[in-house]
Amino acid sequence: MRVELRLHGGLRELLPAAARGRGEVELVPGAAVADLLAQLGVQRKVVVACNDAEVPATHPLQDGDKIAIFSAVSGGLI
Amino acid sequence: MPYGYTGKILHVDLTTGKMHVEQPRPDFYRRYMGGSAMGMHYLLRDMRAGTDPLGADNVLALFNGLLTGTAISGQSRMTAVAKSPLTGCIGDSQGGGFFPAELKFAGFDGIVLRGQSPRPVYLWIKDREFELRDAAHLWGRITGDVEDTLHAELDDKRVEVLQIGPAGENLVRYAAIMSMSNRANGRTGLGAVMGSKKLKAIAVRGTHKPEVADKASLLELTKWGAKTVPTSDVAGLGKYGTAEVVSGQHRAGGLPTRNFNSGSYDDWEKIDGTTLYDTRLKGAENGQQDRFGRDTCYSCAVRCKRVSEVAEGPYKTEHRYGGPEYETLATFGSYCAIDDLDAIIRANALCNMYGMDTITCGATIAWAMECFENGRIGLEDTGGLTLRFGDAAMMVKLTEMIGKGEGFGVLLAKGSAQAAAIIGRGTDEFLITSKGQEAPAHMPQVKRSLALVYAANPFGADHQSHEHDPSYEAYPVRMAQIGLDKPQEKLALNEEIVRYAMVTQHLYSALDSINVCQFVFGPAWQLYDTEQLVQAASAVTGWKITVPELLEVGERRLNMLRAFNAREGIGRESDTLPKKFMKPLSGGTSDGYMIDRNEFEAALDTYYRLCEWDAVTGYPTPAKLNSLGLGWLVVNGKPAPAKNAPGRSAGAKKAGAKKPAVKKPIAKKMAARKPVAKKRAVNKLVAKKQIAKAKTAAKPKPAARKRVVKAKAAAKRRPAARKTAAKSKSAARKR
Repeated sequence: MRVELRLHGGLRELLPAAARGRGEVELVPGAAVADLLAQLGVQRKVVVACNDAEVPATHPLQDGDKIAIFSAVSGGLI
Repeated sequence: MPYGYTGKILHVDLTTGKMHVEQPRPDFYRRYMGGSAMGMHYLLRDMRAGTDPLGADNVLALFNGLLTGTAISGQSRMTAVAKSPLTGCIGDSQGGGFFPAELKFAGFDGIVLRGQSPRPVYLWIKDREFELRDAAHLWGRITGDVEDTLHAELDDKRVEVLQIGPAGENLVRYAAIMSMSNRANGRTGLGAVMGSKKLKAIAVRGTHKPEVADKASLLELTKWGAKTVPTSDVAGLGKYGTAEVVSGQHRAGGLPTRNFNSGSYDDWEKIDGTTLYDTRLKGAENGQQDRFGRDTCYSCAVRCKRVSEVAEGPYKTEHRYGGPEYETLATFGSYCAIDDLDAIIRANALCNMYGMDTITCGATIAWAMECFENGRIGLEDTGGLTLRFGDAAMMVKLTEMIGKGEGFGVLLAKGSAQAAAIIGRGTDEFLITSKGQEAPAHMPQVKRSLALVYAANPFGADHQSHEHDPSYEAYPVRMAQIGLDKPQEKLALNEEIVRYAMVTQHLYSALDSINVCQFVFGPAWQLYDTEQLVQAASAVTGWKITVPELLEVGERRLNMLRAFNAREGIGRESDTLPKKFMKPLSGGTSDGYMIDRNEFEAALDTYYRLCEWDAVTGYPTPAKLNSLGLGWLVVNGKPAPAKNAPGRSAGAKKAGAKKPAVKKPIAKKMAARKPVAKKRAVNKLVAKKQIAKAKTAAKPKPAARKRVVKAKAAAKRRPAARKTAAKSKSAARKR
């Protein structure tokens, strides 16, 4: 399955610079948010929104989901 | 030998021109650690209740901290405290840059300013020598011009200049104290206090780096920080600045929009930190913004400051005035429903040129826009100007009018709360102020502990006085360092959240005393955690500082701020939130969110109980003050000014606090380096007055005769021109 990605702030660096934080990623069926983060190589503390709603790392993903990832700092912590 | 601090505090009486150096005992430094707490010592000791914030009796204290000027990131900070002309309460603000470190290098931990000069002056400090100089030629000029002029006049571009702009001269109630023409001690209007004293600037240059007790340990921490930044939670903050948070705030429904009517701004992307980075930072046109578009404070590895420019068009702006922080993007942007990034950059630059707090300035304009749209003010009030949300040109125009003191800008220069009190007609319905200070761009409706802290903070609504709610759950290991291990659900405002607010408030209060950057040191997402701060402070000073001791320093400072307000009669009745926060937000993730008044009042009760303050008055209790070593503030069972504050230097007690030390005029010395026309030291006038006064004594006693001789000698003395070694400190300066 594929999900649409939007990486905010400093997390943009995980995608090619030209993408400016936007892209798609292929995941195995049944993958959860934690799997996506591992695949992207996210090591920082982050806030994840799936289809505009904040979700935990255990949240199962569906094909076509729109995922936004914010670093903890940019996610509204400060 | 003191480690970390210089042991010297400069006292300046601007009315008489007299100056002296105080050398407090080491226990004074350990009790307060610098910054706000140290400044408050002098305000509480020397000021009376009811002092006019813009009068001669207001005391303006500027202090750096124990770590300032060392090599570790986040240490070049200076706090200003004085009674605020914006709120009538205690005023307090922090700023960074290079001035704080340079002041330490010049030999001082702080400057205490009293009185009012009869004419504009500036204070020139160079390597432990100091003098007041005429500043008539600087008065009325914007910050960049003043900085250039002083660099030329003093023949040294490495001189750091702390100054007020025309807004401070015009007593704009939210005038800032500026340095580098783009760094601000922004909040609570202390630039107006400096303006009321006719002190245009303080120029400093120093070559004496502070001694460090345990260099190896500090170096280890310094290297760890520099190495860790790229993989830390402040990596994005460094690259995209505080502006990085625009997107997240919008997502969380916490981006104040249309004067706090909503927490979501549909056009957020146009004002986001990544957009700023991609399109407006200096060097962005060829991908060189990391090199040219990011600035720093002295010896800091984070480099979060923005350098933006607008090359052409109506908002053309040169890069020396920096770039907008998140707060500024919000107040001039989403608060006013403005998505024109160039206009925001221009408004930010105007604030830096004229010396104004961007938060109160933008928020006051947003308040005026809402008042106009709702018919509470009209063309007769605005001088024919039509105010609408979304009108970028009008926002920029109003910012300039405030800075220049023109037309409707004169009223807006008082801040929204004072303006609403003058206008009436229900304009207070649209205020977003606590204690008369406009709320910054973090929403209590979304992060509930902010409701408590905005209301109870002694100097009004402030977002940098405690750790915000989400961090409790997100950073359990670091929170445990300060005894917080029971994270609560989102939107809770229960006893544990109140305790969280109070404990982190004590820590942030300590950060503002030891004076370090809250993006570099802190209890959660910051580069260094609390235990690392304690390690760094111990390494610098040689003291064995503990986390509880650090928290007590913060609690002491918070109680000093509250005690100042208490003797002004300001207590619980002022710990309030604006009516607007009790109404539901509209749209976005936070649609319908609001503060429940009963829950808020209950939280306030809990907070007073945990703080050990009087539940009815909100004043610190005598028992609490005594427990913090502040018994000298207790008179007749309540906070009051004390006659004998502890910690004064033995020398000051012996000789009398007001006795000036021998001045060290350096005007002639500087003149020898580069002649400047009409370079006249005010000190010389003082010396002449002393001579005249002594001469008129009917029968001068031997001591008086001695003074005459001394004063004559002082007036005639021409210090030998001495070449000062211009030692480069480029290794440490990463500007």
